[in-house]
Amino acid sequence: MIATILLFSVPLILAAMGEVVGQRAGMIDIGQEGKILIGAFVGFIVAKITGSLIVGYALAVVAGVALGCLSTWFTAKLQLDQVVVGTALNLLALGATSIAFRIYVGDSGKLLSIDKAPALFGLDPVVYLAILSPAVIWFVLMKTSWGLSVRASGEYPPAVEAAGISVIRRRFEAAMLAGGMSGLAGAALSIALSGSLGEGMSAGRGFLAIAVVTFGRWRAPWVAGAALLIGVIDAVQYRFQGQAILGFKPPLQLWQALPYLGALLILFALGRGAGAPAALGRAYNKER
Amino acid sequence: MKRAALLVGSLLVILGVTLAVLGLPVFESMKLLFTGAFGSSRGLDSTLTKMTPLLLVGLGVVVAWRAGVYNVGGEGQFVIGGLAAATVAALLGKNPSGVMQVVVLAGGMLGGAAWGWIAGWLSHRRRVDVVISTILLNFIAIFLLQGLIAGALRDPEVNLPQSARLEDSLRLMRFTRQGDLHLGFIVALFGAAALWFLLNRTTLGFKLKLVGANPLLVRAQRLNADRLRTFAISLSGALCGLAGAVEFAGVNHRLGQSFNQNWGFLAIPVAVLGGLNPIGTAFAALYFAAVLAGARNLGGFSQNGAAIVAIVQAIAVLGFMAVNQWLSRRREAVREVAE
Amino acid sequence: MSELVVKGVRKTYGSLVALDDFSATFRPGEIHAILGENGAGKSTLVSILSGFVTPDQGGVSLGSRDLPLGQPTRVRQLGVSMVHQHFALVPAMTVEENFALDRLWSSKGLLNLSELAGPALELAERLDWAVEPKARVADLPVGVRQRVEILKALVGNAPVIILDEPTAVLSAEEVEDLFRVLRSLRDEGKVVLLIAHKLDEVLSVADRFTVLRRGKWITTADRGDVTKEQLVQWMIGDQLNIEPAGRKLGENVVCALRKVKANDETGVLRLTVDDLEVRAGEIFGIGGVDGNGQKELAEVLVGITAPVAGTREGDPSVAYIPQDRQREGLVLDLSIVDNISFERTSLVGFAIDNPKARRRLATELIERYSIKVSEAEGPVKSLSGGNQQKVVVARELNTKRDLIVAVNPTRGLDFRAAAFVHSSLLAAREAGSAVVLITADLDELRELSDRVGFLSGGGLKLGGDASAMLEGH
Repeated sequence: MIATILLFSVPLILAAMGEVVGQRAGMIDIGQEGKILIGAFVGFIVAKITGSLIVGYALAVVAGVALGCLSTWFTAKLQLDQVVVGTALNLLALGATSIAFRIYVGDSGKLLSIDKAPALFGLDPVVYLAILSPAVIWFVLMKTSWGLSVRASGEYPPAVEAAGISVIRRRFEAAMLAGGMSGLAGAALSIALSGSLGEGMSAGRGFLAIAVVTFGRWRAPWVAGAALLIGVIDAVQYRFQGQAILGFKPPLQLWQALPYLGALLILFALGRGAGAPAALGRAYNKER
Repeated sequence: MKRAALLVGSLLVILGVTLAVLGLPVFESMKLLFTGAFGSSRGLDSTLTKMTPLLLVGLGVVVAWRAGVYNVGGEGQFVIGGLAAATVAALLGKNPSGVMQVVVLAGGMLGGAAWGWIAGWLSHRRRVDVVISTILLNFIAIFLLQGLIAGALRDPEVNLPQSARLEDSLRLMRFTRQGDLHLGFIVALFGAAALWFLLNRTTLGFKLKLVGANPLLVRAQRLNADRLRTFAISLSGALCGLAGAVEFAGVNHRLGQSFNQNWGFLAIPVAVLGGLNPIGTAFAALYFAAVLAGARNLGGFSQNGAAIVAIVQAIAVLGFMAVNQWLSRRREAVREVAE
Repeated sequence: MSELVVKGVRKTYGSLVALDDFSATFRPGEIHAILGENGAGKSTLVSILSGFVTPDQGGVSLGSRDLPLGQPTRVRQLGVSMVHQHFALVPAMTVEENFALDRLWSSKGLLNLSELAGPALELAERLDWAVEPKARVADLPVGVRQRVEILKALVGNAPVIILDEPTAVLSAEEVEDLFRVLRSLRDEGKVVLLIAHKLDEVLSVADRFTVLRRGKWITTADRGDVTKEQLVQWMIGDQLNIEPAGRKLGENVVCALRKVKANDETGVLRLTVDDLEVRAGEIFGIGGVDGNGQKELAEVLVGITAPVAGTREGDPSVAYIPQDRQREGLVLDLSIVDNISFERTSLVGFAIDNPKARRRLATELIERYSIKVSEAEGPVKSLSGGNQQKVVVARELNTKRDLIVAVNPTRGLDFRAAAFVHSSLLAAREAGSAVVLITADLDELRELSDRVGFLSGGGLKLGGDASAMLEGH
């Protein structure tokens, strides 16, 4: 059971860790979903072609980094609306992967599968990566010079510029890290969790990651905890689907909706509250 | 006018580039797309049918975003609109009067409005970000749809999870015997006109624009910004819900698992490209609907209509906004020099 | 130690001469106060000295070195440190983190907070200025936040430190403490420049004074050679006592504030008014330097901000000409017609709009207020500042209101536009409205007011003695 929970949580934790960095720098990235989708495809297909899982993971990360760069170019450099840019990138990813899927798989509808990585102490190695990631992200954000300036960029950009550091540059770097994490999350989803490739397989995990960051109060360890909680709900619903509880048999879809419903209820209970980066969602314009 | 021509031209270029990237012969495919969309009555029918939900949800996006409320929950509100319409239809029983069509559509609007209102209320009362809550509500709505068509609304005579067929008298009138185009198209056009009227010819619409453009001024004028925003997202939900109801009563006549066709997401670029105004949105919806319908003509790529549209949309909206930004910056620079 | 020398500096903005041929020498080991009313040219001078603004003529040197004006970072590195009124602090972070952020250029890789923040904290200790390194800036009182900002400016051991209105937000004890530190900085041989307007405070700390009026240098004098009365005279010229014409006031009290206290958005108490009655048919002028509770008074009168204590009596219909016309008075992206023709009443409820009527009204107002527009349907942001203000004034004064609240309504306007706004306010008074004119411009106050008062440190003092605005709390 624990193995299942972990496996279910892995992509969400990885994506949420990326989103923490991005949001701490002041960017709310709706495009996470698309980055995960691209990561899942690139990772899977590259691994399948080269026969090397590591190369697959690596290229998924590279794809995520590139997408992170692209979206920051629009949001930070051109100062376009973050929601529109994110939506557009999601559509781009959706369209591109769907066409790639048809080209690669054809219309036969056959399921593509891949051999999973050899287990390490009974768990897929990527699980360890996910377990480590909150500590790493926490360390990078809280214990490095770079992390300090990233956090300040999301809170009060003028102070960063006053200290002689470029806010836009920091946002670029943060978005690249966040994108890389999303790409990794996608590859983990297709290679480790499902072992197969499907259209639209991100299934809203990128969106959940955004919600998880809010109720983890923008702190990496708490966010990881929140992601794990959603992972537990997800694993539980998967396990109990179709079973009767106290003589009542809830419909399958109620189970499937549980993670999203849970996220919404938690947000309702917590409210926005304190902790949100003050400049979240706003482009920084030096002249104003 | 010059700008409109520029826009149309660049949209064609973007389409061409996308086709080229996909490895298709550009001019031939464009011709195929065009004839597919407009070249036959069947093509035109399909284009306008697809334009209907795109336009209605696009209008929903327009009204919310103009008021500064980032409703990205069109998808969920569309689904709830369809569900509400189907529920109302089921409650009306056998052989209801045709007039009841209005009630079915109103039910859909109400359902969508309620779904939008939830996000407005969460934002107003609990300061939950509208972007996040509407995204989550999308998923909840989709699972609700799937649960209900497998449960309460299920047609017992069919082996698939589907709602019962809509009574004939409740179906929206179709314009031709063979085609799908239905009265909902007129409803959508009327919706665009009505929204244009609301935004440009009423004080309420003006207030909505004010709260989106300058919340501080709204405060200085002692207006209640939260109430205006909640109203905007409810109206937005109503329009998206109407789209769902119209799609249900006009095209599908029953709810299936693939009832939501990503209309909610596709409509965001439609509204943005339409300059967040109802008339522009109608043209943007027509353009994307044409690509969607015309893509059927692309032979081996026939399955990828929606995918091509998604890509074209993404590139178009990013390019459009980037160029707009560049133009307005240049204008500002010119002004500064002039002063 | 080297002198900071300003030589013949001139700066104009369009037709406005902000600073005219200003020269001065600021010596090491002195606290030098620069005095003047709003618009005297203080902030222009400070912006030039700290490198944010390039003057049209003249230059500044520190010792033997000319400062590269227009390059704030370079100027700071060369030793001119500036403490702005608006702090460059990250509220959500700790004091230590803010110190570290400012010196982050000297660090890569691992974050060593204690090392980066060390110099500032040591300095704090030396100055006997306690700051808790682990405290979040947002939780600190304003006075302590300012300490943090000043310490940041001092860390590089800059020989020149400029403080812009540092006492505006401080309590009396905090001011005393700040002055103690400024004195010890002076004793270390630094040039300390203090921009200020509250004379009692400044007299207790400064060694020399330079007075500016309307962009011109008036005098520079030693502490021993001046009296308070003399400084007041220099600063505000010969208009010291404002004696209203003494019109007979109307009986009808339109709006009254009783024992009102009001906070700003951050929850800091900014306004204390014991008793204020505004009557129909008068212009009640309220003078004073910006940031002394003006905005809060206006918003309480208009009814936007609810007082935290006390009551606002009366329920008048209100017209409001806010200080920040671009942010609160206009929607910059909407057309001139839209901006000029919507008014409060038409915004209530749902009504069918009549664009023709609005256009007609707009054309009429544009004509009547002689607003220079190329196209009435064009965005209001394409207008000049003066014409933008006319749009606001035209809209707000077009319909008769019981109460009109105007905050610095002629700031930045040319003579003709200002005269027009004045005559509009006078006409509104004649029509029976009560007008509250909150302004930093003494001429305006004298010309228009029937009764006057002055705001200083959030307190309202009635009567025409203009030196009231130069008092402390």
